Amino acid sequence: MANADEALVEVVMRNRVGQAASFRRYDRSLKTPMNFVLDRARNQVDQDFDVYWIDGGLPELFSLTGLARPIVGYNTRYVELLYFVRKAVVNAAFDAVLLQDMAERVCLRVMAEFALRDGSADWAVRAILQSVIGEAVHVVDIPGTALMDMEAQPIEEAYMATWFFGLAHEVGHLRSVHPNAAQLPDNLILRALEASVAEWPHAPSSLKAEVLTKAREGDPKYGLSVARLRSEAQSDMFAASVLFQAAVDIAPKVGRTFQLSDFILETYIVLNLVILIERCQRVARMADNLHDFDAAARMEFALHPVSYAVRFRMIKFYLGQSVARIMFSAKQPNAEQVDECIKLVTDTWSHMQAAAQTADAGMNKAMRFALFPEERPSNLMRAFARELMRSDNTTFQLMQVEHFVKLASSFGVESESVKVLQRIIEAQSLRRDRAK
Amino acid sequence: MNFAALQILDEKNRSLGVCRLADTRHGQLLFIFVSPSDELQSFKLYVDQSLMPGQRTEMLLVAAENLDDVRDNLTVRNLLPNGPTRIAVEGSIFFDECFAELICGTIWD
Repeated sequence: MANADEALVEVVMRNRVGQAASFRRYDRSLKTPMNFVLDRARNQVDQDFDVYWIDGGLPELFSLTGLARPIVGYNTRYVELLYFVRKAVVNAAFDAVLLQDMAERVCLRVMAEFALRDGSADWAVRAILQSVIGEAVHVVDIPGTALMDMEAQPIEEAYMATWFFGLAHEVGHLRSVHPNAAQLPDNLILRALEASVAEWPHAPSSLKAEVLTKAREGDPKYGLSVARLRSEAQSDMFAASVLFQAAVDIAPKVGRTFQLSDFILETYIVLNLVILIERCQRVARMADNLHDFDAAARMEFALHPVSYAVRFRMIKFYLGQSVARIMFSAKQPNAEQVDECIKLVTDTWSHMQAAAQTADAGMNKAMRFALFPEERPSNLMRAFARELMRSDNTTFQLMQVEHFVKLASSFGVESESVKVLQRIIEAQSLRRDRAK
Repeated sequence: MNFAALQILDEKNRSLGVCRLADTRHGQLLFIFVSPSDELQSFKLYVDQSLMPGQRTEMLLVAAENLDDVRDNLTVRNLLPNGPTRIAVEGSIFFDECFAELICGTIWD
């Protein structure tokens, strides 16, 4: 039976991550920060689960139920991308123009990778080309190298959030589906939704009213249903709670003092990044096929910003409550105390708001490229070819594209555009080898 | 819409037909440009390197509503090459990819 289960897991995992990725069950006996976090996560869920460490493949974390033991997939490429974008977002050396450009390029890269599995290969090729052409400043994103850099970082709040927020979020989904799990009350979610809808820019009031009516009706298939909002918000709060505990506990073990304000800020940064990658995944699926989706699916797509606003609101509420417990040494702080601490969280977050908005502007440009094919330049492959032929300083672009082509092959993608790209980079490699 | 191709002329200014690439991985290939076109100039520079003595190239404008009209127009003037020919029209993904492979030298079969 155990062998049959293992074989099933192997098949399920392979289908999910593609042929190029390698994966292994994570050894829970190791004394690592990851197990430190997983121990605390396990204490908050009612069931055992396995974590699979995945190298290569698509940048996504996921949880799978319906197997003998639930699975959480932990993809290192995902964590690397978080780290990579985080570095740009928090690095004061990047000015706004550069940060926006970088965010746009990273988003296009992520979209391109997801599109290989969930969307159209031809559009994926356009996206990867757009992401590398004319890149003035190369922030080195070589799969594998960021991971080594990450490992060398001090174990502090940023480290914990970047490495483990997504992991804890996925474990949170396992908790959410468990029948005995306590659930966030409907009225709390609805209040957050009402506030988020009220702040929704450019939406007509009739649409805002419709959204609230549908959410209250309770159809779980509706994009902004309480059930769906709860699932994500609850997993975010679970992740924040696990990391809070883990960060507090690990600090003295590594000779540090836990920094609450850093933790609050890092939670904001990582949630922005997690949502950024999630948005890329959704856009990748719809790009080039927008008109194939029915009106309901397109509306759901348009409603996502509201669901993200709800998530931010809920996690802010959670952090406000947690901070209030510490600041006022109260198990159940009163509403006034919580409000005061929510204000503190808002103030702390405001330090990164400008950078988050700039990164968001980059994301919006990438989305425009994805969703409006008629606006895309028609010479992307030529522009890439010319850059390769004119400059020897294209190593990083070549590496990005090579990674993309390998990923396409691992998903069995048959596309003339991918083949063209492959021939071009192979020829370029040969040319360079001869020149040496 | 103005389309354009590159035609080859002999020393007496007689047209030898439109310039096409033989033996590509797509077989015989004809590039059609949307005039005015920078790519046409790059293509001319490329083709001019391999002309026979006395030959020269010149832009051939083809006034047409669409690609089918371009093909008809060239056929009527007996300018299309013999045998099956794939046409790559500037602005299409196929053109972009073929031209990129021409730049990198990977277009040949």
